[in-house]
Amino acid sequence: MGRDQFLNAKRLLSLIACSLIFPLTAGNIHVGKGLSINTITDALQTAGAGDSIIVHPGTYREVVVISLPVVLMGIGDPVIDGNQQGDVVSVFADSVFMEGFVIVNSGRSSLTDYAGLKINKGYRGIVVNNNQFTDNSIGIFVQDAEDCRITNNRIKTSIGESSLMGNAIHCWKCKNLEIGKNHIRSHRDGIYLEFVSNSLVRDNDVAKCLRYGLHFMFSNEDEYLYNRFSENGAGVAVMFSSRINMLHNTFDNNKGGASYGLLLKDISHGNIASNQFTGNTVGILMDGGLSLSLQENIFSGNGWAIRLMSSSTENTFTMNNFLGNTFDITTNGTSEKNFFSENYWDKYRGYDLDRDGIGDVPYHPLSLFAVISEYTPAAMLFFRSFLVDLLEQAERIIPTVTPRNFVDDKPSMKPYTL
Amino acid sequence: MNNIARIIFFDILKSKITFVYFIVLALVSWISFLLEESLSKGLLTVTYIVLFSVPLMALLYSTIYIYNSKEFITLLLSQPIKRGKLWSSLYAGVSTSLCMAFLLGAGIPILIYSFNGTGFLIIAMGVGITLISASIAFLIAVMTDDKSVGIGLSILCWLFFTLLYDAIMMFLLFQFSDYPIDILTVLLLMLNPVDLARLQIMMQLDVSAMLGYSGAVFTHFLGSTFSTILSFIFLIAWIVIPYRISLKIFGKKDIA
Repeated sequence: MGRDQFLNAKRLLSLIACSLIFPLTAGNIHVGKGLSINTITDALQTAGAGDSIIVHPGTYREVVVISLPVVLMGIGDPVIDGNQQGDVVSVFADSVFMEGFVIVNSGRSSLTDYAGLKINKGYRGIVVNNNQFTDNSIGIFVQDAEDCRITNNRIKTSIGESSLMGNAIHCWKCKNLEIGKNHIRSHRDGIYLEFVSNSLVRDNDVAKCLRYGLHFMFSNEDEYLYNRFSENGAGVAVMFSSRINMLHNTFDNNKGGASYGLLLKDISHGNIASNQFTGNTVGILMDGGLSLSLQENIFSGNGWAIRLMSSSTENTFTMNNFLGNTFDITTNGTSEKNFFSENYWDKYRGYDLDRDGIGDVPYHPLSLFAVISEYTPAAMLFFRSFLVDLLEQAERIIPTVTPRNFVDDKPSMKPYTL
Repeated sequence: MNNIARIIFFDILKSKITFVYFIVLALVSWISFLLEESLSKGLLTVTYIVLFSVPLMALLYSTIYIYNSKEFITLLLSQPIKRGKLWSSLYAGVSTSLCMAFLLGAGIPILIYSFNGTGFLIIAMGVGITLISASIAFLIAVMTDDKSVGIGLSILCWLFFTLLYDAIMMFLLFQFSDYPIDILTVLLLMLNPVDLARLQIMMQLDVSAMLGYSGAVFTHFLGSTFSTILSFIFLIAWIVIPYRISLKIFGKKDIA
């Protein structure tokens, strides 16, 4: 008993000692015009592990290489200008914390990927919070790192040439990343994840990117929630990945010849729920989707709510709202198995005699014209003409062209409040 | 509006057919806006009215009106009135009353529910189609003396514009689908006023789909200022040319 108490007292003492020593060893180094240290590089050379470097307002034309675990704090938005030479800030250390900087003008090259901030191979625990990245080729490049947090950054570029333009946040071969609340404009891809697993992408606002707002390649077991992707060149692409959760996102106004809200290319076992797809040319383009579950999504005002390519099978669509889309579903195949149940289709014209909220007549969401225009796109010119309406009615009575396995046996009579 | 046109205008109002037309348009438009849960579906219903009911009504009514006022025309021509003036007054009277019925019946609900470019476009197309149909009806009526033939022709005309023309074009499109004939198809479709109106409205209502892969070529063409001007020219031509021809025939016609 007495020995235990002694041990506890010893622990307590050592804790107090630690808390006394740490502020002593982890000093604050101030950097600024008119101060004794006026470049960040100088500050990094004098700093020890765990020090805080506080950077005062001004423009710092230098290439910053961080090779110690330090805290870099910008006060009053200090600018680090890379002068279009290589990476502006490179991190070669664990547990670096960086906040409050404006990082501009990384190198531009069509051969090498230069970034505003580059987290290099093998490091972990890096936090990049509340910075602005402007006119960099790649905003933040995370290469083979783990446990990093990239949050609250504003990233944009004015590089117009697609060969020089990079992704706003580019992650390659990472684990346990958190990418949250970033505001991204006008890059090539907003967020690019390649071989990234167990990561969370949340609350980002990505718009006007040349290609994809969010781009997954070979990345498994990730989640993206509450993001907004609008007016991107082609929308969001999730490719060659499995077990990805896509929840509560908004995909809107991704319009154009090859645009869609969400492209699913060879994806399996994902969960797509409570998302909103509004005003896209194609809401979801599914090519090679396997065993995906789509629930409680809202598709409104899209050209095509869902384009289900023939390679997609065993997907379930339940309790989604289809409102005011030009076409709800289209496909280029005939025989694949997908399950539709309890969705609300605003084009449904059935009745509900037993008043259970489920229509008594099955609904075939695939319209004749959706199929025709799939094979002959120019037929779109005849859409909404009297002739097409007549053909459409005839097809509903005597189906000849549209595959019969596209059927919702339990269409909802009322839209869901989602 | 001159005296004769005013007389014709009030004469048409008294006949109550335009009033019924107005009531039907108003009922259908209001009901479609009130009952459909989304605005776009209401607009679609109104679009169908503009594309199908309006030309049918305008064609049939104008043709029948000319035949029925044969005595009136003969009587007026015995007075010192120029034939051109009488014909233009007839056209002004008939088309004004039809346009008014359309504007009051369908125009008001459209403007209330969709006070924007789309709403104005649908109304403009409705008025345009009314004027075109009246003008074609005048040509039909002046070309054929037999009333039943004239009415038959105007129904055929309506059928041609709303159905047969599209069927022929669609057939051609599928026959020649291996060739790049998108722009040609658009141009040929624009020759038909009903299709022209439909394409213009569709560019507004289904813009997401029209911007799709299949629509890229159409948007580049249909969305451009050039095509807007071209559509406008075609619409005006469809009003003016049949009317001018009918005027010419009427000027020389032997009216018994």
